Amino acid sequence: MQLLQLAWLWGLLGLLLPLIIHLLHKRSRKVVMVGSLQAFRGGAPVQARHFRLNEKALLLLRCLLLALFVLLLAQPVLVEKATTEKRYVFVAPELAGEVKIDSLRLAGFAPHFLQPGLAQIDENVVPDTAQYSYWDVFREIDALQAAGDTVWLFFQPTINRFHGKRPQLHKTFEVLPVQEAQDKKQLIGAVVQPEDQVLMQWWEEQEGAWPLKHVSMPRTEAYRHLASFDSAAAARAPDTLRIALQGDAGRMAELHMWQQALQLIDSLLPGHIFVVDELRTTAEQVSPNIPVRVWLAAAEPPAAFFEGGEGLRLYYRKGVGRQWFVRDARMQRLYLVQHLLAEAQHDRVLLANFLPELMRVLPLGQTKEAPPVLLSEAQWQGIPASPQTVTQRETRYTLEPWLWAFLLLTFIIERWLSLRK
Amino acid sequence: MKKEESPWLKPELLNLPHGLMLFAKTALHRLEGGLHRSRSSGEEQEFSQYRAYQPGDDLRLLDWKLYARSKRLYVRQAEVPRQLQVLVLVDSSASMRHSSGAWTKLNYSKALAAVLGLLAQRQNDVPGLQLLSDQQEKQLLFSRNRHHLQEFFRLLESTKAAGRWPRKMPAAMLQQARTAGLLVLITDLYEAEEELKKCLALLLGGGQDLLVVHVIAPEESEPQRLPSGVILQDLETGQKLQVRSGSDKAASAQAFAEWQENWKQWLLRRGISYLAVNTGEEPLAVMQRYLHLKSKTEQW
Repeated sequence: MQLLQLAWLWGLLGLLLPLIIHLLHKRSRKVVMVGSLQAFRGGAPVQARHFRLNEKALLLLRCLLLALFVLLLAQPVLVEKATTEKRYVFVAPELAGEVKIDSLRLAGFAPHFLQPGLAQIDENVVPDTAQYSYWDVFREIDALQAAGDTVWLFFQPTINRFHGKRPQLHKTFEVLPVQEAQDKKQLIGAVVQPEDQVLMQWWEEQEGAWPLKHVSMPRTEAYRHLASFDSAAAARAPDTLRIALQGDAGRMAELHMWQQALQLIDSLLPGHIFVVDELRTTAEQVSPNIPVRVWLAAAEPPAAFFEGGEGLRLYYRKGVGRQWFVRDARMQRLYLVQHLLAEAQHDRVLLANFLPELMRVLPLGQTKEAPPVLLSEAQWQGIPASPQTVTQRETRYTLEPWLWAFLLLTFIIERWLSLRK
Repeated sequence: MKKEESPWLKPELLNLPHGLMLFAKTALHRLEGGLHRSRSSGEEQEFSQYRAYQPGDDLRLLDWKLYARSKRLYVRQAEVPRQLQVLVLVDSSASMRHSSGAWTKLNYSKALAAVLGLLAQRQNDVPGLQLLSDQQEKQLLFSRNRHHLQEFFRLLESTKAAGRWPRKMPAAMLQQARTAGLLVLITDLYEAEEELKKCLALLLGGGQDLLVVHVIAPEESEPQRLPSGVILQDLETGQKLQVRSGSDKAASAQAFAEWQENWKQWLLRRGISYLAVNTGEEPLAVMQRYLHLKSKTEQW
C-alpha cells in the first residue's frame, strides 16, 4: 500500500488528544470526603462501575476514528507490482540484415519476422521469401495477445505487399522509419585476411559515380575505419559484372563449382553485383563484351575460351587438389585466392549477394524453393531513436471507499457506546 | 521560612506523644514572646495603684522612675484578677474528619483547644473540655487539680471524630456551662441547623460569653480548587455529589458564602462572637486573631 499524501500522517499526533482527555477524565473522578454536601452544588455522580466497562472501548474507538480519518486524508492506494512488457517489433525479412537485432533485444524489443508465422529473429532462423500479404501478417499480429496493444514495424513501405482486403485491426501499428542510405560512403564489407589484416571494401560517391574502393589495413585500424561508415550498403552497387557461364546446366556438381567460382570472382573483383548474363553450353560462343567467363565443364576449355578481349577467365581443372587456374597477370595470386576462399567461406554476405541471382538462372532440379538467404551482421544500420520500449504498467486501487465504510461503522459504534453510558 | 512560623506548629506534631501539649506550649511561646508568667496569684499581674513602701516589701516592686521624679519610694500594686472558667466545646462529629492537606478539621480543632486550654491555665483560669458527639460523651469538669491540664490534653488527644451532633446536650455540660465565664465552641457548623441553634440558645441562657470558632476547609470556601468532575462524599450521610464544571463550582462558592453569612448574622445578632478559621491558615495566625478579638471584647 502506498500513501499519496504522506504529510497527513503528522495528524496521527492527534491520537494523543483522546488519550489526554481520557487520563484527565480519569484523574478528575477521584472521590473527596467532605464534612457536608449542603454547601456544594453539582449533579448525581455517574455509575462508576458501568462506566469502567465502556471506557476503554470508547477510548480505542475514538483513537481508531481519528486514525481512519488521517488515513483517508493521506489517500492510500494499493499498487500492484509493475510488470515489464516487452514490445514487439516486426521486421521485414529483406531488412532483417540491416537491423541491429542485438541492440533491439537489449532495448527491450522482441524482434520477430514480419511474415506469416511471426517467427522470432534468430541466427538460425531463415526468413521466408515467399509471396504473402502484409494484411495476413497483420491479422496474425492482431491476434497475438502477448504483444500488447502497440507493436512496431520495420518494413519497406515502397514494396507493396498489402494485397487483399484490409482486415479490422485493434492494435496500434507503429512504423519505425527505415533509414535510407544517403551517405557518400557505403560499406560493403570487411574481410579478415592473413597476417591480421582486414580488407575493407566500400563504394564512395564521386561526382555522381560510385567507384569501388578497397583497402587492406591492420585489424586495429580497421575497427576505427569501420566507425566512419554510418550505414551499410544495400546490394545496390552501381557496378555490375556480367558473367558468362559455360557448362551443362542442371547438375549439382556444376552448381558447386559455380559457387566456388563466384567466391573467387568476388575475391578478385570485389564489390560487384554479378549479373549472369548468359548461360551457354560449352559449344556456344560467348559475347566478347562479357568480361568474366567461367568454364564449368570438367573438360578442358578450348582456346577460344581464353580469347576475346580482356577479362577474367576461370576454368576448373582436376589436378593437384581442386584448384582454379587463372590465366592472367595475377597468376601469382593463386594461392592467395585459395586462402581467401578458405577464409571467406564464412562470409555469408558474398553468398547472400549472389545466390538469389544464381538460383534465378540455375534451376535446381525440380524444386522451386528459394535457397536460404543468409544474413550477416557485418551490415549495420543504426536503429532510429525508438520510443520507450519497456512499459511499466502499474495498477492502482484506491482504498477510500473501504475506509469511508469502516469509518462510518466505527462512528456508529462509538456513538452507541457513548450514549449507553 | 517566615519569622512567625515555627517548625513545631505542624499537624504531624499532634501524632507524637504529648504532641498537643508541646504544640500548645510552642504556640503560646511564640505568642507571648517567651515571657513566662508567674503562676503566683495576686502580684504584678496587672498594675492597679501605687502605695508607699513599707519595710518587707519586695524590692522588685519599687518603681524607680517615680522615685526619680518624687524622691519617694513607692511600690506597684497589682490588681488581683478574678479566676475564669473557660469551657472549650469541641465538635467531634464525623464531619470533622474532613481532611484538607495535612490538617483534618478535628486535629485543627484539637490544636486550637489545646492552645486555649494552656492559655487559660497560664492566666490562672480553669479550662474545661466537652466533646460533642452522639457516640462519645466525654468531658473534663473544672478542677484546680494540678494534673488538670494533663487530663485536658489527654482527653483531647484521645478524641476521634465519629457520629453526629448529640440530640440532647449532656446535663453535666449544661451545668458546667452555667458556671463558665467563657464558652468556646469549635465546630464546622455542619449539623442539623435547628438542633445546633437550640444548643447555642441553651448555652446562652446563663449569660456567659460565647465564642463560636467556625472551622472551614479551603475546598468549602474556595470550590474552584476542586478538580472538575470530582465526586464529593458526605462523611456523615455517605451521599455523593459530583462537581461537574466551573458553573457548579461557582454555585457552590456562592452557596457556601451565603450559608456562612447567614450563620454569622444569626450568631452576632445574639451576641455570640464569631471567628472563622480556615484549616489552610497557620494556627499561630488564628490564635493571634483570636487574641485580637478577645482584646476587643475586653473579656479578660
